Amino acid sequence: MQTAGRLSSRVSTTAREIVQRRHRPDYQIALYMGLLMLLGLIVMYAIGPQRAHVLNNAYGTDYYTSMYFFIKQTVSLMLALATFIALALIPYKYLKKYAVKILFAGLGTCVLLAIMGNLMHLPLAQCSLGACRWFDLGPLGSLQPAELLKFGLLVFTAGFLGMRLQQGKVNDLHRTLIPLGALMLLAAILVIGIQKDMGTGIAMVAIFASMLMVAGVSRKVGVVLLGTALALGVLMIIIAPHRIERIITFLDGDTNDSMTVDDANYHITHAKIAIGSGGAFGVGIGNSVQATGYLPEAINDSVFAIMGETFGFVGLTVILMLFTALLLRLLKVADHLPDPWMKLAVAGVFGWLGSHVILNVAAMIGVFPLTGITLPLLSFGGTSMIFIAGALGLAFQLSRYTVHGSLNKESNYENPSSRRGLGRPRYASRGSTPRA
Amino acid sequence: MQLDLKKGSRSYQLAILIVIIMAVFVVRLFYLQVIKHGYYVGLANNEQLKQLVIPAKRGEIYAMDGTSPVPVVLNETVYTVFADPKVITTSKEIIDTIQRVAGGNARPNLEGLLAKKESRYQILATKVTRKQAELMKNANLKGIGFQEESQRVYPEGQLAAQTLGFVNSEGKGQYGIEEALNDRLTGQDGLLQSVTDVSNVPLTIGNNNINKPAKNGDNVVMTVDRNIQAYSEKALAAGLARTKATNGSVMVMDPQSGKVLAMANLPTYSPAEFNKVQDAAAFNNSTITAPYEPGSDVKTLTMAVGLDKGVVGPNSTYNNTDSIKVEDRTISNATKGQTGNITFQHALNYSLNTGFVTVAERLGDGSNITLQARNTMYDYFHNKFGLGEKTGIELANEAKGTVISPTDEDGGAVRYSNMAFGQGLDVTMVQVCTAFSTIINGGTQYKPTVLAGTTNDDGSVFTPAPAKPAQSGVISPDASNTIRIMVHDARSAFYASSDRKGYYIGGKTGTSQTLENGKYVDDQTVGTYLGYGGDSQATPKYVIMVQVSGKHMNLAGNTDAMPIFTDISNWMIDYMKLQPKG
Amino acid sequence: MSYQRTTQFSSRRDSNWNRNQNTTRFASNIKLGPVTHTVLVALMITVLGLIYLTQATRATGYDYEAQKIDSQIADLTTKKTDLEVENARLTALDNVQNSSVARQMTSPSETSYISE
Repeated sequence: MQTAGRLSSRVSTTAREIVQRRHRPDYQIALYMGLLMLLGLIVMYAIGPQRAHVLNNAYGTDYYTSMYFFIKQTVSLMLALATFIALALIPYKYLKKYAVKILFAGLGTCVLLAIMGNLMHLPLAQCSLGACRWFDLGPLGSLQPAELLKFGLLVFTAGFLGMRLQQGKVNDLHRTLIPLGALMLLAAILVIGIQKDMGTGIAMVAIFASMLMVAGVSRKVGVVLLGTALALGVLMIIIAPHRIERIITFLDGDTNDSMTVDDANYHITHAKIAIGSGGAFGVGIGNSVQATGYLPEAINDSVFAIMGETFGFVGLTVILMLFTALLLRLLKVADHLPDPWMKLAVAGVFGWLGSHVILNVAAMIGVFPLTGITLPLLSFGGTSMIFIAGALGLAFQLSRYTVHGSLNKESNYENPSSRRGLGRPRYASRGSTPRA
Repeated sequence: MQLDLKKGSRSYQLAILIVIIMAVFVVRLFYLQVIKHGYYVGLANNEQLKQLVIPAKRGEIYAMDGTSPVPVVLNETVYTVFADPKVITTSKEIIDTIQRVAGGNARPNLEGLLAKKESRYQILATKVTRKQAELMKNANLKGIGFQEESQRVYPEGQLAAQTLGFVNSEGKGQYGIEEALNDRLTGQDGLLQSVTDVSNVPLTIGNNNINKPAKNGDNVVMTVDRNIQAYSEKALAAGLARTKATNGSVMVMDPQSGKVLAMANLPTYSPAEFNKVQDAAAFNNSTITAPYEPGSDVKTLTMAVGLDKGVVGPNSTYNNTDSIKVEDRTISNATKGQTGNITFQHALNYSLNTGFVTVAERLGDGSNITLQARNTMYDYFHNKFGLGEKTGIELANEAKGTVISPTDEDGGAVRYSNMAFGQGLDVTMVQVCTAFSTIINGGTQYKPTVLAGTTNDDGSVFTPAPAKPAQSGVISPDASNTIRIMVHDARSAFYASSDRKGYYIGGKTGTSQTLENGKYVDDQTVGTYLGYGGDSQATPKYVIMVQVSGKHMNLAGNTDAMPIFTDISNWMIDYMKLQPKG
Repeated sequence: MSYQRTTQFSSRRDSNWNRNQNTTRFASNIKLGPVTHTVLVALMITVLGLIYLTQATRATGYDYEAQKIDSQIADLTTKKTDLEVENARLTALDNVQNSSVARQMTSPSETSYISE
């Protein structure tokens, strides 16, 4: 890329100048995000009328007009874009500063939701089958506190792990891994245990994992952590029977396609029917039949399948390529950021976006059990869209601080912040703890 | 895309992981969308492509009201109310509403039906009208459904029940015109094959959509006039009440066209409640389904044959000895004492059997009913008049009857001597009416019909049916004229006083013995009266045939059937607005 | 700045019968940046897509409209049939004969005919 080449030749004089001076952000992040959002909007426009009719039919109302979902999605997109711009402009140091507060806000709202929903049964908490995941804010829409928690975890862990990275104690059991593990366990109890939201739980784990990975956790610790996560996952599955059903459904695979609405694999079968009947080039925009009530959650969780029916193999491949490009851009930004906080924050955004895409798509094509997670940027739904856009906005802002050339070697991460004039010694010796 | 990721870095590893996962996804998508495309299109079509039958509307049936058709059989949408007991929570409210709205249409023991939680389908009320169904729908009861069906409705009640027939629970016409014209009335169901949404709303998506509209059944118009029919039924009912007879039939026909104006039968039934009928005999239209030995009224036909062949005239004479020997049998008159040289008119007036056996003899060699005589009679009775053959009237279950041919071993002189006065042959009223119409209208045989034509969909435009082929010259106009006068004189000889002055009425009684287990019995006779009427001697306007019978009852043509004829005949004069002549 | 001749030479004579007018074409050297390019292409695709959409996607919306109208027609037809039945019932012989009007009627004491 021309820009990067020019930049690296220009900034190679002194390290200090490079870090402090902002350069042009990576517009490709905005481009891919915008394209995916537009695509989602187009699909909302096309299948909104069907969805409205299905809902009107089901509830016997005329509440949903044919433009209802298109308009709501447009509003969500506007809010998401505003969040994106806000997080691209608000200096990241504020986030860094308020990271703990954001985390506590996330934890607090989750606990509040649990108290209001599971204990007091207030109508403000939106529950189904004993799982309360949403605040119902009436005409303002609804809010999913787990998203805030995700964001809080991201900014907090970036700071905490970044600090430990500077101290060279990423692999330290007592100082790093146990506190992080405790935080993760708390989040898991709130999200997987109380909200019974396996998908969001896995996404959180993925955020942690990608940050740890980029922070350079040792292979041995990695294997142990992976093992622990798997063991916990199995435990979660064992204590919640509906997950076992989903696993069984999933293991039946393609051999047990069900057309009966009550069956456990009805949803996944119909996702595959939608995708499969799309063929190579799709049935065309507005011609989706599965969206007329056959496929559950057609505009939210299952929108990938509807896109498969509409745009076919070619269209889905393009969509996956767009997501891949976006994810790889994030990795590139992370790889070239010299500051550990920034690097880990972008890695977290990568884990967030990547886990959502992979979990959703894998479920739709029948290679992973359903987790009830939305497809970022494409699915209908405000909260997830706004938070993903916010996270991408952060990454977009941070992409202005990348350094290209020989400086960003992994060995340099141990004490790079000295270059940012934070008063720490420029070259601290390995293993030293400057502020402890 | 140029990423500048360092080989071996953690970001590089993550990038490889992402690319591998995405590649796996794309391979899986290729498998689903390209390789298994056909399989999933099949699954999709299985649930999306639906074939819906568009039911054709069954044709309505009209009768005439003077010159314009009026509906006698219509369709009505009724609803079956059913419940899914499993989802019902407010069973008391449901029971109250249904009993209040549907009343007698609600099924008994609703509590018990709703208690069967495992059944998932319980019919709570049937044949609920649209208004009632709307009231129930407005009550917003949960777990209640409505199933629409079409049923026949009879605004005129029992009118012409046997002529109409009814439609059974499978939607097939039974008896009468409903059965005979079932195919025309049924029409053809349409087919809608379409991709639909999950609630079966057809969508215009897809290439396999078929929309074949239903072809509604024809609306048919009967020649039966509802006023004449109603009066005939009334007169017959009054006559049966008077005579204590249990069964009776009346047929009114237009002799100038063969159109049946009324067919009344007792006992009758209500076609709307056909399933409550105990004895299926009530469904039968005896005027076409029950052949019998019609008795002396057939003497008019025998006389017509004699006149047409020129072997006798009204004033020709024969020697009446009150009995006549045919081969080894002796045939006697019912009325004795009119002996000596008497005219055939005299014989007809007193219904003397000997006179008509003589006519039969004169068709042969003058003293025997020879093969030639029998052939002549058979030719007229069977071939020309159509006795013993189906008339082809558009009603179900028409019986053929029996007229034994001279070549048959039973078709000897004795048989034909009996046939000359109306015994020994089995014919239906419609056959006799048709033959009688032929001999009094100038000799033209019109095929009897109940089908006047069709109307358009809403019954406003009436299209007459093409006339059936008529056979003229069956008997000569002179012979026809003569027999018409003879029949008039025969009636006038005794019953002139009962007819209105200035009209030209003729008729002949018949009192026939009946067979029980192949033998004539003494305690059971059928009374028949066959006659015509009009305002002029030349063109009779109507033919009426009345028949009354009952188990072990001796019913006579003159005392039991004739008053019914007179009643209807005098009413017809007013109804047809005939003016008196002379 | 020097103009370069395009590699594809097309004779104007093929398309223009006037002689010797501008027998060569010239290409500009101005180039768009890659980001602008991508954005423009993306915008064009989006605009085209939206135009196509407004033409194509409302079909199912019309299906529901059509269904609504169809059910209204069916409903009105049922009502019409009901009224026809009601009309037939009210004009049936039994009803007409037993009506208050019919009960007021009397038989004429004498009928005389105009002789023609």
